[in-house]
Amino acid sequence: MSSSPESSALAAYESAVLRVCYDRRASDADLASLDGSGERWLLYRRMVRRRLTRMIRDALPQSFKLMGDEGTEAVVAFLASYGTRSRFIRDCVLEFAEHRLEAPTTPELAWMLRLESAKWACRHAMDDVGDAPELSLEAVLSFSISSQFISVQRAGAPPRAAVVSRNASHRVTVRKLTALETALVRAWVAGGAAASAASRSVARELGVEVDAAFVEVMATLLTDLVDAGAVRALDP
Amino acid sequence: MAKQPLGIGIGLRPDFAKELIRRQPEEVRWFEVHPENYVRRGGESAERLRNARALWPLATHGLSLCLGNHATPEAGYLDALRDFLAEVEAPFHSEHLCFCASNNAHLHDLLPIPRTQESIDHAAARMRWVRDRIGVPLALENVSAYVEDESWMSEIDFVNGVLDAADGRLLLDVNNVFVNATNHGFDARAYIDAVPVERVVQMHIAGHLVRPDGLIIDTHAESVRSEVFDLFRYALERIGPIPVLLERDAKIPPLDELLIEVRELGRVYDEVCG
Repeated sequence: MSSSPESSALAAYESAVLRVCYDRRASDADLASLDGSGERWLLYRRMVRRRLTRMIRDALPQSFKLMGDEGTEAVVAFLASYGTRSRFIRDCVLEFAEHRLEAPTTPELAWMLRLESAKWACRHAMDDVGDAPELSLEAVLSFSISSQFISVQRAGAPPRAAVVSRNASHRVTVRKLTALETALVRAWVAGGAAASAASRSVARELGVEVDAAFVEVMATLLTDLVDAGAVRALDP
Repeated sequence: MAKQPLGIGIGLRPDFAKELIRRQPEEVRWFEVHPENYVRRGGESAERLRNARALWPLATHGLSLCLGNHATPEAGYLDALRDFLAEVEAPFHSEHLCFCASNNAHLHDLLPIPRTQESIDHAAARMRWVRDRIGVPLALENVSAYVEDESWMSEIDFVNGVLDAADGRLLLDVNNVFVNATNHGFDARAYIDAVPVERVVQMHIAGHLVRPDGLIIDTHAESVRSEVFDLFRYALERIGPIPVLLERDAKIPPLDELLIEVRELGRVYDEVCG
């Protein structure tokens, strides 16, 4: 549906309201261009900003704890970027996190933003459709639709990775990964090779023996990911 | 064919949905959902909807396709909405007569548009355009507004202008009529008198907040006030039996407290509609 020429004045009006609500400061020019009292438009500004700010802060509590006073400025900057592109209000949490991650962050904040936004995304993600084949080490694996692999590598800090997923009871869990486990997960979901073959490739690349300890790591990880609803087998 | 919603319903709030589904209180006759909270979403919310649908009929109420918006909805959303409405067997769908997005940025709130002929033309065209794509009748909801301008036409003329131009249905929000009538100084009963009864498919009723300066804010966070109850009765006497939703979206009380209000509304409903 395209705007008709007749409605261009209405479109301009709505753009002015958008700026009043999202700009760092509502401009006198925009307020003067709108019908009705400027004070009442500022009431809308406060309502819009309060709703989104609360939702974002509630969904990312540890990230905001790390940001401290800077958290307020981060939300202000996000709103001023007109970054609320999704019609689903739940997505503003993810939009904010992505926006904040574009700015310089400490390794700890980058990790926490990734972790908390992944938990949020998994909680609200769609369900997998249809039954998957039985899981085994001979299956080619993929992530379920309600799971995410996250990894953060920043100078001056050790790399961190985890699988965040939602299980059949809708519980979202985080499985932190060691370097070996990270390599295994990456290989398992790369596609094309069964989990066992992919694991042997990882062992070769890392120069690790496929011994009882390696098998134990592999089996424990796979069991954890299956229990968490994180992976499923692809059709052969 | 799905059962049609009728009588008093409530929103399927996650705050009490499990308890509601477990207890199945007889005073709740149907429930309302916002498709935006279910489309492209699974997990607990999808399960909640499945469980509630097994017990009650439902109505759907949109939040993001407001009739004053200009932007074309992104590819796929209207198809997804149409599929959702078909899946849940929605008898109709409703949206707000206001705008909630501009320049592809969503405000996630309901902002008033000028009550002008230009806005009528735009909203009616959008109402027809959306309706043609979702597969069910579309109703518009009158919204509360905190701005007013002397150059604007009256609210009821504006609402009726869009309804006539689009041949649309109306979701009459009684609390919004009361809020606007009080804030902007018009006669709420005269508004109700001018509502085209044959177009009304649903009513909303809610609580509101009165600020110290007298301005009423449509919060959906308080109990319904007696003046709104009176207006509800007046509207019901004119319109007759239709689904009525008790809206409560913030400061959600315990379910038992909410059910007291549902029963009060049900008593008025039964007195008027038999």
